[in-house]
Amino acid sequence: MRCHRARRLLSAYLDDESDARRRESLESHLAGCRACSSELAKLRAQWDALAEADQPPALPADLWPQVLVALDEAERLPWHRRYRGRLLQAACVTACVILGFCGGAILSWRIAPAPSSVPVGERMLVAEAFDAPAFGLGEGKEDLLRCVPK
Amino acid sequence: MRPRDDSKLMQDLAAGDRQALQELYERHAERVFRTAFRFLHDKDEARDITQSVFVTIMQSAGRYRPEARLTTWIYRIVVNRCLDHRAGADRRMRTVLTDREIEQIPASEADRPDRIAQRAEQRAQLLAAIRELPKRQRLALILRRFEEQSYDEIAVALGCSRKSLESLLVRAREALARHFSK
Repeated sequence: MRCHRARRLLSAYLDDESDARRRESLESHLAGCRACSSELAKLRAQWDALAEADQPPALPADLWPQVLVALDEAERLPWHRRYRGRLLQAACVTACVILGFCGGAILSWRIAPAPSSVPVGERMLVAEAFDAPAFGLGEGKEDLLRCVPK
Repeated sequence: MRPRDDSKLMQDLAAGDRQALQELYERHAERVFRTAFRFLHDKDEARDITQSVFVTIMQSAGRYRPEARLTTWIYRIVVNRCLDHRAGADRRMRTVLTDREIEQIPASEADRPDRIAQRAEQRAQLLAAIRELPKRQRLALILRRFEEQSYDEIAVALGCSRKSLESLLVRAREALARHFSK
C-alpha cells in the first residue's frame, strides 16, 4: 500500500469503521511507515482536542412551552401555508415539465425544414432549368429547390 | 407503568397524542439542541431549530417507519433544518469567539492565568476551524465526533452513501489538520 492510499484510510480506521481487510493492510503499512504512523498520532490528538474544546450550553428550560406554542401555530395555519414547501416542490416540477415540453417543441420546429414559400410555378421553372442536361443536376433537384431564396 | 419505547411513542404521536411528543422531547431535545448549536454556534438559532424539529416530528409522525432508529430519523430532520438554514444567519456566524465567550470558558482552579488564557485560545481556534468547514463536512464531523453516531447512521442522516460520508470525514479531518499546522 502506498502512503497516499493509507492516508485516505486513516479516518475510518480511527473511527473503528474500517472493514477487516482494509484494517489489516493499513496496519501492515503503518508497521513499516513512520510518516503515516505519525500522521495517525496527529489525527488522533486532534480528534481528542475537539472533545475537550466542545462545551455546548444546556438545553434551555423554557423551550418546551415554546414548542407547544409553535405547534399550535402550525396547526392553525391554513392548508396551503402548512403544505407550502410541498406545493412549491410540485410547482417547480410542473414548471420544469412544461419548460421541457415547450423547449422540445421549439427545437423540433427549428430543426425541421421550413415549408418553401416559393410559388409552384417558379419552382417548376427552376426544376426544369436544373433538369437541363448541361447542368447534370437532375438527381439533386429536390435539395436544390430547398435552397431557392424565399 | 413501563415507559413507552420510541416506536410506540411515534405510533401514539401519529394518533395525535401530545403527551407522546413531550416524552420524545424529554428524551431527544438535548441532542437536537446540542447538534444545532454545534452547527450554528448561536443559542437563539439552535432554539429555533429545536422548536421547528419537534413541530416536524409531530406533523410527520405518521410517515416514520420503525425500520430506522428514531434518533437517526430525528438527526435527518435536524440535518435538513441546518442545511436549509438561511444564508443570512450563516453569514452572521463568526469565525472567532468574542472576549465574553472566551471568559465564560470554565477552567480548573489549579490552572494558572496564563494556562487558562492559552487553553481558551486553543479552544477558540478549534471552534473557528470547525465553523469554517463546509456545511456537510461540519455536520458529518459533529455527528461522528460529538454525537458518536455510526457511519451508516450518519450516511442516512445526511442522505448520502457510506463512501461519500467517508470522503466527507477525510476532507474534514484534512481541513482541521491544515488549520492546526498554520
